[in-house]
Amino acid sequence: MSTTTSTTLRAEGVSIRFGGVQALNKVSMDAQPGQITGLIGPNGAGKSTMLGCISGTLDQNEGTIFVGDTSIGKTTPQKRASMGMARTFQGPQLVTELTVREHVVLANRAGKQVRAGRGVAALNFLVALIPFFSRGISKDEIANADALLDELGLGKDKDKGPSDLTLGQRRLLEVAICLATNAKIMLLDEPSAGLDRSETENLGEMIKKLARERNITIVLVEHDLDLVFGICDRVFVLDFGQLIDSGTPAEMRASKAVQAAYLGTVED
Amino acid sequence: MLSFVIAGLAVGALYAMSAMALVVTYNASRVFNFAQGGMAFFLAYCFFFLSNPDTGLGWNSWLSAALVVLIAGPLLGLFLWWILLGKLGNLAPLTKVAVMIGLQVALVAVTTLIFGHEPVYLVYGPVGEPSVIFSIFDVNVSNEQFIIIITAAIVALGGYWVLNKTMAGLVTRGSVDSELMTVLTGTNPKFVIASTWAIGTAVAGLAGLMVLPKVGLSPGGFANLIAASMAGAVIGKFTNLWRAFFGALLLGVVQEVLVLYLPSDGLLGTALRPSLPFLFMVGAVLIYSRNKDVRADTQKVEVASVNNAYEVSLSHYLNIMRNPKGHWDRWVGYVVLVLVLVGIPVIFNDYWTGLIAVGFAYTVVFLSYRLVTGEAGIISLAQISFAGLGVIAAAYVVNNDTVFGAKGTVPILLAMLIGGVVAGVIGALVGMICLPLGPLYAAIVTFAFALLVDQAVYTRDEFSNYGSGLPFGRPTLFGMDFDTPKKYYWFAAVVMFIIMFILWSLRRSTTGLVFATIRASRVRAATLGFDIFIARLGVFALGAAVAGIGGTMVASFQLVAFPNGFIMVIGLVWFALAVAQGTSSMGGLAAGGMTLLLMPAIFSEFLPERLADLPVLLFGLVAINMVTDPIGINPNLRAIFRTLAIKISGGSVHEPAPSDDDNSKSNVPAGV
Repeated sequence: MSTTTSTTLRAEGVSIRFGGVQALNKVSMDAQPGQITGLIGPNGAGKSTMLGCISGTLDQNEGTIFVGDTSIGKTTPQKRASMGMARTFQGPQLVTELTVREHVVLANRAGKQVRAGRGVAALNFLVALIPFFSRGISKDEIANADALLDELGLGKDKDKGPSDLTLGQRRLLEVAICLATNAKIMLLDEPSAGLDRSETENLGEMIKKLARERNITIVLVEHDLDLVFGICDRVFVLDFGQLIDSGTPAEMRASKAVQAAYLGTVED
Repeated sequence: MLSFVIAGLAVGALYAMSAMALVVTYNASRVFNFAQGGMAFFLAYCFFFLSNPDTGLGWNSWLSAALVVLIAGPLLGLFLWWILLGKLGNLAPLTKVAVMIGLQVALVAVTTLIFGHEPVYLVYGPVGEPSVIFSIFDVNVSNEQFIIIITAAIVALGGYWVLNKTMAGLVTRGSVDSELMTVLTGTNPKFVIASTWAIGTAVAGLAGLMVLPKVGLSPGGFANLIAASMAGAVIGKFTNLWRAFFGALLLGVVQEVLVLYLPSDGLLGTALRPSLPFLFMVGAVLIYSRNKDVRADTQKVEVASVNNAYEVSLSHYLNIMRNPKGHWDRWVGYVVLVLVLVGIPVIFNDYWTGLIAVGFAYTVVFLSYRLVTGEAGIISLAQISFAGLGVIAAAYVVNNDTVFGAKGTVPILLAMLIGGVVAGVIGALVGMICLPLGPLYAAIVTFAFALLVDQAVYTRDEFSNYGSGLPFGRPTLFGMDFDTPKKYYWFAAVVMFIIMFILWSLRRSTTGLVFATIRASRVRAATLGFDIFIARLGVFALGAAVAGIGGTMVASFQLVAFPNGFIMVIGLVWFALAVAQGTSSMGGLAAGGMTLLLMPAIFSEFLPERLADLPVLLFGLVAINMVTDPIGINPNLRAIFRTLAIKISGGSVHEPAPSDDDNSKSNVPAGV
């Protein structure tokens, strides 16, 4: 039985169509604070599209999404960020001109700024135009960023640019950006792709710790079913844009519908 | 009324043909032909040379037109595709625009170098001297009007037939959607694209020849034709041939019919008709930008074409600059800079010192590109107009007693700041129109705005003072007069360095980091919560203000506010030079500002007058060179010096391993 708090995420009847393709068809799901909610399905099932609708990078044609009791309808990604939402991307969205550390510092400042409101952002812009008042990166910011990067195993790469990182490292940096914003709702899009087994296990432990200790609502889209079944509290399964099943990892492991979606069915 | 409609149809038919050429070449190659005016200008001059009995060969005008349109046009298109245009497809939008503007500048310069740079105002087109051939409802139709309308109809219907009813058209349309599929069907997509450029250039040439009797032969003469055809292309969202055709046709008709209803003088009478291309664009952009999907779609084009060539160059540069060794080279640079700054007024006479002072003023204008393009990634072709509007505003408050009381009571320094503020406010308004859609829209709307300012603002007597410019003065500060070239040199240098310091400060702030993110990935910036539109608008307005201040500095040195020094044709050269130097690099922009002024001065000292356009040709070629060097000249020079410093310090330059995975940017989301 799910309860609603200010950071409960709930999607109701979300549908989206790209031309002739129904990418999502009346999908409903929810994610609770302090829990990890898995979203799985074969390629093309609509998992990343669902994250796009939740984060506001895509507009659903039907249905709505709630954060707590507030409908976020078709608000902009910026508005959702100000409500404490952050996400990673399947194709890392990194900035060639920034170092790994600068990405984290920027994300941290972004988190503070969006929580403080637009007035502060405007003030920061004006202050930045006054020489000696503009903020370079402070020692505290460096220390905080380095601690987070060390925790994710990116400590030795903090002065590199993203083009010097492997794909796995870039995905970890995506996670670091998400964490640095201190968001209350995190949407992770295939964070373990490109990582080896031990890196994946470390990442899983970190995600679990985050959800439990910081009471964060985490939605995890993953192809690595061992990771999903190992750390998720509940799992939603999509296939061809339809929600085909949901439940605990053990229930989903045993679900005939899920097995059919992944493995196909044998006709009699 | 009917006679005006027919005249409008003839003008609109020219616009429509030219718009079709823009859309066809853009559809096939994803390169917007900012050089179409230059191509048409070159071909029109070829026609003039072949057909003119006095200064050329005096051949039959129809034969000359056929040779130019059917042979020279396609050959020019193929040649340009072979050496340049075929290499642009996957480059970033900014690089494409810069290269095409460079090509435009170079083509005009080559034409004037070959054929001479004296404008020719009385030129007949292929039809020869106009004469009435028949009447409809008592309205006379000239042979020229009839042939233009018929030609446009043939071009439009022929284009429709080829694209929709022939195998060649099918292959062309297939090539636009999927180059790979075209290859798999056994067709060479390069052949398709090259053919499109050949046809597009020929049609552009045809329109150019037919517009000759209206505009004559001068470098800026084709600007109206190009602006109107661009308005058609915008109406067609760059891809819809029919919308572009009829949009441009309608523009021509409205332009002529308005003659009936407008007074012959006054603001409305003189400014509205030249403003129509801009107003049509604004209307289309406002309608399109209301639709979230269209907004996302126009920006998707931008992101889909973010190329790895730029990323690779940038990564290579950053990798060298992030090397822990060799950072002492910047101190060498600072020492050299101080020595040069102090040395110039000592070594050079007043003339050259003054020239360098104006170079500092131009550098301030060029620094606006750092904000607009280097920070916010916006392609603006109107920085020169913001500079000109700043000049006009500053001179107006100084010379007009209705603004601040008695004439001449406003201090020049305050007037310069007012100029900056006015330019900034106008910049904000233009930004509100051009920023919601993708970069190509921004480039084209700012282009049309620049033309609008040329024709509707600079021409007004209260601003141009009947062509002689409003008097302006030198500033005073704390009792110091900057009345000699050497004194003004120090004033300009100090203002330039203050603005440089502000820009440096901006880049290292949160705002600077945000702009780096916006340039690389809007979706990342949006999901971090940054308001991209407001941020870009703020910087666009600030850039306009800086350009305005730079403009007033130029006027202040010259003691006259002469708006004709800030026209769009010159602005294209500025843009090409700024981007080629590297819009992120303040050193590069300073080099651009100085080169702009010093190179023509040096050339005019040592070269004959007929080669006066040689520096302009070089500026164009430098921009074209961006096809091989997308980050610009100055960053590359910086990298060479830093590499040397690293080696002297005993370090080595580490090359980043080539990326073997997908780091492509995903689509820009709706609503960003």
